[in-house]
Amino acid sequence: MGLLPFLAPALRGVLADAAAGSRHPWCEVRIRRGGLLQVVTTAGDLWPGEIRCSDDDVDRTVQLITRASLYAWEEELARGYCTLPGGHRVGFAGRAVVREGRVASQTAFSSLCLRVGRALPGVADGLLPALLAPGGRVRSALLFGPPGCGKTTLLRDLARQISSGRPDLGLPGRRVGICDERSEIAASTAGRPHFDLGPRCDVLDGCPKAQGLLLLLRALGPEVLVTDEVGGAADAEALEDAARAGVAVLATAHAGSAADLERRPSLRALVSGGAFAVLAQLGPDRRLRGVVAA
Amino acid sequence: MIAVTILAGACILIGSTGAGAVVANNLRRRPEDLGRLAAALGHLETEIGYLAAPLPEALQRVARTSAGPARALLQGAAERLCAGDGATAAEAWLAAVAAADPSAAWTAADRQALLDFGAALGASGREDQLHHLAHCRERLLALQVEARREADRSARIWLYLGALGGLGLLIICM
Repeated sequence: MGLLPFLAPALRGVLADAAAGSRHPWCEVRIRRGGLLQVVTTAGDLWPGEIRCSDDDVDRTVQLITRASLYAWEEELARGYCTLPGGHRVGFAGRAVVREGRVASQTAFSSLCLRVGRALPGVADGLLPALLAPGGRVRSALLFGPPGCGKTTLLRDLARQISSGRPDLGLPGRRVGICDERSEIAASTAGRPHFDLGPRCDVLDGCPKAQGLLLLLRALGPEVLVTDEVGGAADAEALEDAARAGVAVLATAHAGSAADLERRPSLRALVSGGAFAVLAQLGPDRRLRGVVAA
Repeated sequence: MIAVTILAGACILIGSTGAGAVVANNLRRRPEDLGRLAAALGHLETEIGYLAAPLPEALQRVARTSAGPARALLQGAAERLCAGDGATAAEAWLAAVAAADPSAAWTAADRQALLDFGAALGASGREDQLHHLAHCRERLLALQVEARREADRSARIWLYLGALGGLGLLIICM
């Protein structure tokens, strides 16, 4: 499912025209109240028709995304993003509704960032051999890079290939458990993953990583655990527990460089503690910069 | 000539009695319709409060268990929301109220209560939505009490007035 049905009718025509004339894949559509409509492609920014997004464009887009039911999306709005059918992710920025010191929801939206969900089968072909140990065992790996560099897309394809198996690389299909806190890896809606994740994949959707990883471990007995955007101390602790249980862990983290990784205490502890056997760095150009043994 | 006179007289009598009966029937139907609407909003409270169901599904489910004008109203709003043209819930509700069966026994006060409720539909958090639903339900129940009183007081009068008015007209014409 494309993004157009979720956009205000007044924006659909100009975006459809821009899509027809664009040679590069789209990464994001950005809508700002009173600002120019922006499309981020792999080759740079486009400003279709140089049209300004009106109040009505923003409000109707929010209506279509939330299905005219803001009350049904309070948790997502509190987190700042939601996942749409088709695997697209929407980030919201508006006025925060704060209750008892924490963000309970958002209202009066000023900016929307619609990130195009896309599976790129085969994108992990270059990385997968580096993750395999003798006997077809999968080694734990941390993929890091700046936001929007394709970490999740790479992780998704790794999960698919490991779950399906790669006989040519001596990898039999492995049971893969995905803890998909942000619903980005599988893009599940109503319990059904949108992306192909192979035949041996179980997805725990919307669950915080710290609890989800252990839950998957206990309930579904995965051989490989997959999760996205590791950050806090609780996430790191859960990952360490999983690694100690003899399960391979594939995770991603935001970090512009290996030095940035070092500066994040929980990630530094994970890496130095031996939770990952492989570190893979992606650059802003969405290419694999380097793969090193941790 | 006599046959034509008798036929015309019968028409006047039947027409007048029928008009009185329609008004009386509307007065009797109104409390029932308002009660159904209030019950439907109670069901919608459950859909929103406990299930956090998105409006298109919630309205459709409630419509299926409702009857009369309440069903048509909820179904109409759900269909408008499913059209995918970015209509707000308030616009969909407004259109559904405007397109409501003209034979529905609602008065201007009933419609106003529904329009006021629709203005906030879907546009805020769960707590706020439940507050609006409860408020509208209470308003409809108060209107129902008033409608019942009005029906008890006036329905029979309109029925007699129709028949007697026709008879009176007949006598004058003769």
